[in-house]
Amino acid sequence: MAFVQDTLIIEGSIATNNLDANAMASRADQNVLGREALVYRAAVAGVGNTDVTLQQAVRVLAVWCVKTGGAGAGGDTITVSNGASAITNAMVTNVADTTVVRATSVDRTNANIAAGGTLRYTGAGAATNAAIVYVLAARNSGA
Amino acid sequence: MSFVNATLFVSGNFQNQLNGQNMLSGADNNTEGTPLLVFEVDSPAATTTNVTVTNGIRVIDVLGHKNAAGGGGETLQTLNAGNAITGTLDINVANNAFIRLAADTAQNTIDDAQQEIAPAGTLRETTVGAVTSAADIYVLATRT
Repeated sequence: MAFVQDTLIIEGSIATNNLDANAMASRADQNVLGREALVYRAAVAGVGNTDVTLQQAVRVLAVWCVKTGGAGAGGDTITVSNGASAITNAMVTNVADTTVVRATSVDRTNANIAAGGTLRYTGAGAATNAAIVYVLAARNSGA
Repeated sequence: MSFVNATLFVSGNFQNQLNGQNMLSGADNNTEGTPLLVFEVDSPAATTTNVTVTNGIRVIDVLGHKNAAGGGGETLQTLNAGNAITGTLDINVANNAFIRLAADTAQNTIDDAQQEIAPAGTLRETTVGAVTSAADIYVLATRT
């Protein structure tokens, strides 16, 4: 087979069930294409930390959780952090089962998690504290 | 095979192709994140609107905008076929008002037992009330 002053284009398609943050571009502020949103999900149960080591640098945009396992108890909270540094306020999960609780603050200084950094979910209060936590994020423009 | 003054492009033409079919299903605590999907439902007044989803999804939030000034008794609910995912939202609000699961405890709920819709399952938006209860609804979800 010979190609002389010619162009060969082999077209492909996007694989199904394959797209995650590895395929997402990092984009700067004011970019004109938009930035793909990512969701990180964790089921927090009881008191203590759930740590997830992120493969890519991301910026946390918003956080909310949904109460599970029945009503909460006094002192129940969930906080999302960048390692040991809090990103959100302590979301009060002393609420009825299935209630949506949104973080009311995001610390802009701590919201940028580096590649290999730790996305931490911290449950506090009673041992029965339980919720599904959703972290909305995007690949960080500095990645 | 030989190339003389030739150009070989091995590249995909991916423009305008990306949709939920390409998204990875993300388990809890996965380290790469899961792409966010938005299902936009134009929900007419006092109507049940069904969307048969191709892939299994997990509904994680619902928001929208009112299409006209509301009236008394107008509500909106997101369901997994006949099973409620969210609480019943009061949409007796002004035209263009932002609708979100945030109003109060009674409405502000997602049932984790119903939030996962199977492939070919039914994502349902139900509006109740007056002829002004129409809304543009955006259901945020991820692949399961």
